[in-house]
Amino acid sequence: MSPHARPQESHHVRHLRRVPWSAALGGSSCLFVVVFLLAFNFSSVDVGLKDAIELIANALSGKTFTPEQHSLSAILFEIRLPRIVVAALCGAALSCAGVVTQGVFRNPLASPSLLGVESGAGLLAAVAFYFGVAHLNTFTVPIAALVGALATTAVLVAFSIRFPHWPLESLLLAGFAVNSLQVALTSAVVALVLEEHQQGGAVLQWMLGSFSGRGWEHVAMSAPFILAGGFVATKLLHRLDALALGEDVATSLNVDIHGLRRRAIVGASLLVAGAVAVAGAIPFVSLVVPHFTRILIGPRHKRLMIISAINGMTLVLAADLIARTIRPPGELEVGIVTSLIGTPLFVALLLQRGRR
Amino acid sequence: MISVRHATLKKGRSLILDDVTVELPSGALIAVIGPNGAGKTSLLRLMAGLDHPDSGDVLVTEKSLSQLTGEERATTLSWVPTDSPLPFAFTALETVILGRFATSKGAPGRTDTEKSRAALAALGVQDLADRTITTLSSGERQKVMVARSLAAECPVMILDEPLANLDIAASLHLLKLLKSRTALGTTVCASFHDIILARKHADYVVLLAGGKVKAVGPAEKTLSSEHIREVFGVNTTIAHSSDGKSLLEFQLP
Repeated sequence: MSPHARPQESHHVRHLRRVPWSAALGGSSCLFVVVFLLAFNFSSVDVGLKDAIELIANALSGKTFTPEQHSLSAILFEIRLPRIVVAALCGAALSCAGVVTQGVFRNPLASPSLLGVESGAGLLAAVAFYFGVAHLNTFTVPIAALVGALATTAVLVAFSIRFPHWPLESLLLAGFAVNSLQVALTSAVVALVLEEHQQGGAVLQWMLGSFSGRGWEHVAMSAPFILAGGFVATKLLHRLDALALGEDVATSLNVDIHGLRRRAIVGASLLVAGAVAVAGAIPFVSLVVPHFTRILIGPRHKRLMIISAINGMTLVLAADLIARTIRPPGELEVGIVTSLIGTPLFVALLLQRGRR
Repeated sequence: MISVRHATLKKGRSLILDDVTVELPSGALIAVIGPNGAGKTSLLRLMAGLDHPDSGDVLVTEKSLSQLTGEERATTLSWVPTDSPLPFAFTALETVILGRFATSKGAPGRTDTEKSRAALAALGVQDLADRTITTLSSGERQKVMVARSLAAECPVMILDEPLANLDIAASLHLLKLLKSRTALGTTVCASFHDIILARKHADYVVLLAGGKVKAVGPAEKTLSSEHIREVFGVNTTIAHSSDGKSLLEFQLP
């Protein structure tokens, strides 16, 4: 067929401006390294990068530490570094969960919080505070949160197995119903906690999301779930590309959309569960990071997931840096910071979409 | 190539397809014609293996669709739906490459890209390769979707109202392209609303009404004025010009 000799209909449409893959990867990585170094350098205790380098050089050359360097090393590697690692892990996990959720629901404004996994975690964490067991052990609240998150996931998967031919909207609405119920129950439990215990501050801090006092044990606790969820998610990425063409077209291309849906729910839920267990609910990251990354590099899910993971680490690390340095000697909850950064970004996003 | 045998399809209580039996020739352009709600899309979806009949069977090359593996089905039948909104800004080229998903296994190589560019060129939209599909007009998007189906190189192409968003020149181009594919042995099955174009260009017509086959056979014979009156309730005047072309005109009775 010969090309049509017709006037260009849409020459006024802006041409695609995507950042090339290697530039996006390089740029995102550089930004992450910068934020990482800043996070490592700044805190309420004045230990700088210079001290850290000296310390590492000393350790490598086999010299013994001075007593001063011993306490420095404890601050840097037992307090500051694990907190950074937890924050980075959570940022990557939430962003990847967002990529998978938006992909499987074919909606760039979807977020894993629609699945109710975060609110399930919140409910059981609040219950742990109510029964006064929260302070018994570092792990009590994270374990309660994990159980809540995984129980919600189980309910969703059960729904999708019991009603395999439900349209996607129904599954979303089921998640919405579960989510609303859990949020209502959580509010009730939090109100009771505030009334009956002195731990009101602790439960609120958890609800708002925080990395305060997180150590290597929290890394060890969340990493298995985040890695497992990440593993499940990476197996789905090219099928999510096909799904973007519509459920029927994906089916005709030999994508089992029901299996894909279930695996995506499990993958996203594990990622969120790992993050929410150690950090509490950190809003907006899972919604905003994949969306912005998609505008940057395009919607192909493999690339999107890699760059989103890096950008998610950067955003959460930066938010935590702001949270712990903005109000010395105390700190702000990181969830408040991500909301304060995320809301204007989200509004800008809506305005930009509305203009189209 | 495709045979539908006593296929019945229900949605809730209503009967969408009622004992449909058609035997379709291979290497032909087959038009599925009928008024709104006649069951055209439902029949095409059965043929594409997207839905399964409540009773009866659909066979492709003598094999029941339900017995094909997913991969066999995906490499035999390609499906082009009517225009549907697409959520993500893939480029036209990326979209067409996805058409080769069943063979490329999600890791497209150089051949996949080359064949996809060729498919875009076959539809005359190679210039759109780097445009995002969310910025295309519905007609442009339709051409990209047909290119995606071409790139899959399936022996059977099933298209739901491929001319719905195309102007007359683009419609004629697409019909010509589909005809050229049938000459290479591809079986093309599509629903149409334009009786005149279908009558002129299709080799074979399945005329549906109320979920039943009213007539099936060669285009000119099947789309006779009697059949059109019976199915659509309009009168047809068919005139023949001196150079052998037929001209159709429809009137309400």
